[in-house]
Amino acid sequence: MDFTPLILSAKLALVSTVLLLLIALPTAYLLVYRNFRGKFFLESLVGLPLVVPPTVLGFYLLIIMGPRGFLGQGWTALTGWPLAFTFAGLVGASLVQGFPFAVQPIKAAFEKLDPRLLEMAGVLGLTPLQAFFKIIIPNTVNGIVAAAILAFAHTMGEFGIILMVGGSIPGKTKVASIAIYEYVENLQYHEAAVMSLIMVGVSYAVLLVVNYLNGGQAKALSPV
Amino acid sequence: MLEVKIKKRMPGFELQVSFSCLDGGITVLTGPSGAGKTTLIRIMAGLTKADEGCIVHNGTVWFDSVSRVNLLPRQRKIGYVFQEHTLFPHLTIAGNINLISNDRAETDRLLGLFKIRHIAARRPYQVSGGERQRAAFAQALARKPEALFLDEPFSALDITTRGRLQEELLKLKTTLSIPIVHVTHDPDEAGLLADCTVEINREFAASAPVFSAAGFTRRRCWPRINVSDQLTTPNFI
Repeated sequence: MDFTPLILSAKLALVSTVLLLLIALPTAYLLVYRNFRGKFFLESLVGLPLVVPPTVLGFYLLIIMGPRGFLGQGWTALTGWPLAFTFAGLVGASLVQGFPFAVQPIKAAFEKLDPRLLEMAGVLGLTPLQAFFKIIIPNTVNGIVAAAILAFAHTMGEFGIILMVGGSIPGKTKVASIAIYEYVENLQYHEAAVMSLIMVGVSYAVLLVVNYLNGGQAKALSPV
Repeated sequence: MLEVKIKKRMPGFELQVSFSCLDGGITVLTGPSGAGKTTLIRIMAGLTKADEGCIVHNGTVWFDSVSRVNLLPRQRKIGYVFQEHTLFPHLTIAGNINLISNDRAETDRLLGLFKIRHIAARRPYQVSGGERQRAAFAQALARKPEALFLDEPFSALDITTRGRLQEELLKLKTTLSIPIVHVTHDPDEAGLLADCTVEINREFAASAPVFSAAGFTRRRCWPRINVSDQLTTPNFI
């Protein structure tokens, strides 16, 4: 059995997660700690990939990443490579699709952070940048880790948007979820079952870690 | 010297106050709960914005509603000790001080000054309330502030610890030549510490500065301010 799709999925998830954190941290900071014009629109935009069907997102991405799209042309001018139907294109699509999954837990953690800590940082003379790195991030590590894990898990399971932007090129853009779909299409149920089982195992492990970070086993409410 | 003259609309009343704090003296803001003591000290620190007025420290304008100057808390170069939650929970006691001083020797000096060297490696939740407040004082002074603001720093402590820290604050005052502003609702604490008392009384919807020492000039108050006759023991020289 060929495990390349699984490895490709993991590689895609890893790269996307790192990039997502780099984008999600400042975005969450802006949404929680800054007031600016159009904040309402940005907030809604962040959640958009949650409600728009992946195929719709994928269609638009395919257009702008294609050889005639501005993103595709820009990327080609910069690197000499095309963007659509490549690994880089998959990463771009994963960033769009996974964005809300990375931003929401970080935003929730920032909102939960005691605002008095930031007041203290202010009266003690720390700049906003120092407060961000030395106070906010160390006190919201759990939320950031949860965001990373959710982003990773979600990218591992992406299907529609990947199929639209990347197609199914073995070794290049054929990730696990697409491989499973193709196994089923070809009536290779055994291979589909093995790969599916691995995906379920990975997903469950991810949820266990997230729940552990969110405070361990939930205690039952005492009866009234 | 720190000069304060501000107005702030509060739910149900308006806070109006005008007073000065001299270098090396403790100005106590006192009054019942809900009178606006904490709001006032927060306005002085820049954490809350006043509606009108000005705050000037040694000729530097911190806040002026007319010229629209409002320095951020970090630009005011102050030390501030809160009532509770005074330290960063993810850092050790020494780490909390060093974050601000950025100088290990200075951190060590402050740990020694406040007698907390033995808990330097502990986290805030692993030390007693009194030790935590000592560390908060050390952290506030780590910035070498030009004014020290204390918002009920002893109110969550037991009587013995409170008494000890009050004595230490009086000793500390003699070594610092900066204005110290101390908020308390406890009349005994106000009497013990105050060189100058600003009594905020919500009943009159106004504030009444009461200056206890001969060295202070009683400033002309705003029309709605009631000046109380009560004077605290003069202990400012």
